Amino acid sequence: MATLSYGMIAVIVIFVIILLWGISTYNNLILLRERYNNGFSQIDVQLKRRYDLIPNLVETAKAYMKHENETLEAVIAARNSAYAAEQKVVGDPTDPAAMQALVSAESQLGGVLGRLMAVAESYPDLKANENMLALQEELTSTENKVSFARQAFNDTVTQFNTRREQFPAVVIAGMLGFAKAELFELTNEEERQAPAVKF
Amino acid sequence: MDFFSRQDAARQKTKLLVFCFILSIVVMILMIYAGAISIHSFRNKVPLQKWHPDIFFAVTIGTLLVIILGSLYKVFTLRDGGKVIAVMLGGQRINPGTSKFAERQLLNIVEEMALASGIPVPPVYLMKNEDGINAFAAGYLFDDAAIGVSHGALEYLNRDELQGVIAHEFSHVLNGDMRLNIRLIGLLHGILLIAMLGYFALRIVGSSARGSSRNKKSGGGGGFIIAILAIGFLLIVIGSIGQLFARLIKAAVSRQREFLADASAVQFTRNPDGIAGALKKIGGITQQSFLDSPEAETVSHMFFACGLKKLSFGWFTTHPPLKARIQRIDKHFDGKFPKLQKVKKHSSQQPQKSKKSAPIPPILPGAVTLPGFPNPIPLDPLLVVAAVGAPTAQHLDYSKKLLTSLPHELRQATHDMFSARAVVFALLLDTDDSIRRGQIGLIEASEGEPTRQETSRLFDLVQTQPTEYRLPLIQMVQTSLLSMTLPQFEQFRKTVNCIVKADKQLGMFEFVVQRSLILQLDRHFEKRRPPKVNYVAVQGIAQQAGELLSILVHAGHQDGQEAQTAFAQALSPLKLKPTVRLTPRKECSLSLLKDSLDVFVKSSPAIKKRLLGAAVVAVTTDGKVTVSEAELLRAIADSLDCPLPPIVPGVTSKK
Repeated sequence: MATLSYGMIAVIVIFVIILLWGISTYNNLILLRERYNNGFSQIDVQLKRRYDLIPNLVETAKAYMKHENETLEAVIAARNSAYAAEQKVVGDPTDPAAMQALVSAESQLGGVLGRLMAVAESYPDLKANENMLALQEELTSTENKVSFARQAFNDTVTQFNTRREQFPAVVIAGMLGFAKAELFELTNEEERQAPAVKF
Repeated sequence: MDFFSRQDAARQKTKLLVFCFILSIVVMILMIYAGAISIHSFRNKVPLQKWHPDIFFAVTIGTLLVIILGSLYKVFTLRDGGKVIAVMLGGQRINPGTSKFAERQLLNIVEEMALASGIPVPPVYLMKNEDGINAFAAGYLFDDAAIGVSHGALEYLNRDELQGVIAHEFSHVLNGDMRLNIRLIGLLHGILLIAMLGYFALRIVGSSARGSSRNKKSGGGGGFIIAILAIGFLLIVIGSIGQLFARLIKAAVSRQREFLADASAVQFTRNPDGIAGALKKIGGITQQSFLDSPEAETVSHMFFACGLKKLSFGWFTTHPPLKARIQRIDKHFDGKFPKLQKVKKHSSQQPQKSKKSAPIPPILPGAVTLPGFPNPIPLDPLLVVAAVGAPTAQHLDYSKKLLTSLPHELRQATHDMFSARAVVFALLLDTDDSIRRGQIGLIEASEGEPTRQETSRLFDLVQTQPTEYRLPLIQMVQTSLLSMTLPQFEQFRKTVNCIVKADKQLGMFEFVVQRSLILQLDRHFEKRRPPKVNYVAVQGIAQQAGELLSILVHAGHQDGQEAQTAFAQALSPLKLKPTVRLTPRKECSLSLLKDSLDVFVKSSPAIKKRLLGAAVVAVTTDGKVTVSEAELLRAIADSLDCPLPPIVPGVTSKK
């Protein structure tokens, strides 16, 4: 009986450890997921700010850039599609497809905005406009905040993904549907502001 | 009862709790043992014998192992403080920069209260899927607290009611209830595990029995399975009885503190209608304060109101009945709860002023200087110490005024982590142009061009503000800075160190930033626990006490003779041996201050109280306090883990 009892204890202890390990891995994954969701909300606040600024910017530019309607419309269109993509991600930040869509829409928006700024260079009156200067300043500062928040977000996503793929955790992650999270990586700055001259 | 005796009382309660806990474990072991010998005699068909040493030891060791493992595990997972619990309950952090009105309002309320109680602004979590009206505060100490609020609370409560609920939670934070709460969860988890094991055993046997019946194993195996089955049942039954104990203990500890927290909330907001209104609304909706999260059971003792439908009465309820709670605040309550509709929240909605509450002075929008803040302000040391952990309505009014007169841009900058860093840098910049240029260069080198720009922009703003704003700003940025990742924080800490060192001397405010902000962020990011109590007698740390007071005395007095007198005055309440002498001025430095504070952190609340009292005397033998002296006091209080409310004219002066 004695050996049986001790054997039983060993079995019980092993069970307990497995049980606790399972719960702890699960909780850990939940915590990491919340962390990157929080990371996204940091980006999101700034993105929203940007979506609000852009129509104002276009409105101001319109008065000066009579012949650049195409560029202005492209900016508005890109802004609208980025906004729609952002709404989808807000609905479910863990959906990788929605995140990918947002990233590509944002890259596009960054591209056309860059083009608008480049074109604006040739309109000295517009460049000197108080309103335009303030909007540009605000836009740049929002951009800076986005890039800092993005760095934090990508760090937390990487942390989550690494944890999710480690051997024992991957079992739990698979069972309970923790999908791989998507990075928020825009195409880099150089590509976006297409270089003008090449020899 | 003041802050320090409440801290002591919380510690005493923990001891009582541990005693009850051990008692229930002993009972459980005896019961399992009784069950085990019965099974043993039944299986081996021998007469029941009372004493089986081997079975007894096996049962004891097994039970203890399970409980200890379970408790340790839970305490281990909760070491990250309040946010773990918030996330466990399905909470999502509300972004400090949110533009949704209801969320903005909630964050404003929390911000005001944090400033009024002298703690960093805690992160706020929203339980999106909970439609009942409830809230909680969780964490170990003030600096890792998290506030959670249900979606229902945001929907149904107006500003005054929400303020009452948050004030209730803050009093839990300030009374040291949170740490007790977390320990309670840890201990009880061990007991819970025993019943869980029982279910687990039945499951395993259930599935393997189906397998073995196909295989037709030997009869001995069948006997073994029956034994496991019996043990499984036994564990479930005894585990459930243990849980019963656990719930009783938890409920008893929790119930008595709720009235206290309600009373403190009324004192804090000076508005009994707020919290009473919230309680009435809980009674008025069908979901009441009940939560749907399966984890609500574990933390039921942390909520604002009862979170569990099935355990909302009698000995097991963690909260006194709504009616009794309301009647303590509002004597005329007849027990009829109004049926109610959701409050439509618009930015134009005016908070309902109650008739009973004292008139609150009108808030001057956009005022640059605080009305009625002379510098220096008169101060009574006793009142300062009495206010620790017990902020009053005046502190709250003061903080509200302060927040509304802060320039909008500056306040907004504290709400996102990119600008919050720049706020700290801007506050640390020197007024001397050449030093500042060097510092700005350092910021650009380590944090990049955008951060430098933001810092310069904010420096211009900060410059125009009176120095009273520096401390509140430090408290406000903390919640945003928590969203940084570890590498970002390490970079930030490095930059702060560089800026501080750039002027070759450690100023008072720089010391405050390092002691209050960086130390607390360190605890968050490096997961360091506050140190344990090592000193219970002030004689043991007499030398350090002398050093601390000497530094403070020298900071406020140029004259050698005056310093001697001030030192003697400050020292007298400590009743130290006369061997403690004033440290000469040239030996005093902020690094010495830092060393002595590191020792005092480890002292008991009673010592901390006397030390803080002596420190206040040392700073203010002239009965007045300047902003930089107030900042120094805050740094000391923060180092001692004492939440020191802002020093407000009128509240802290003798009349």
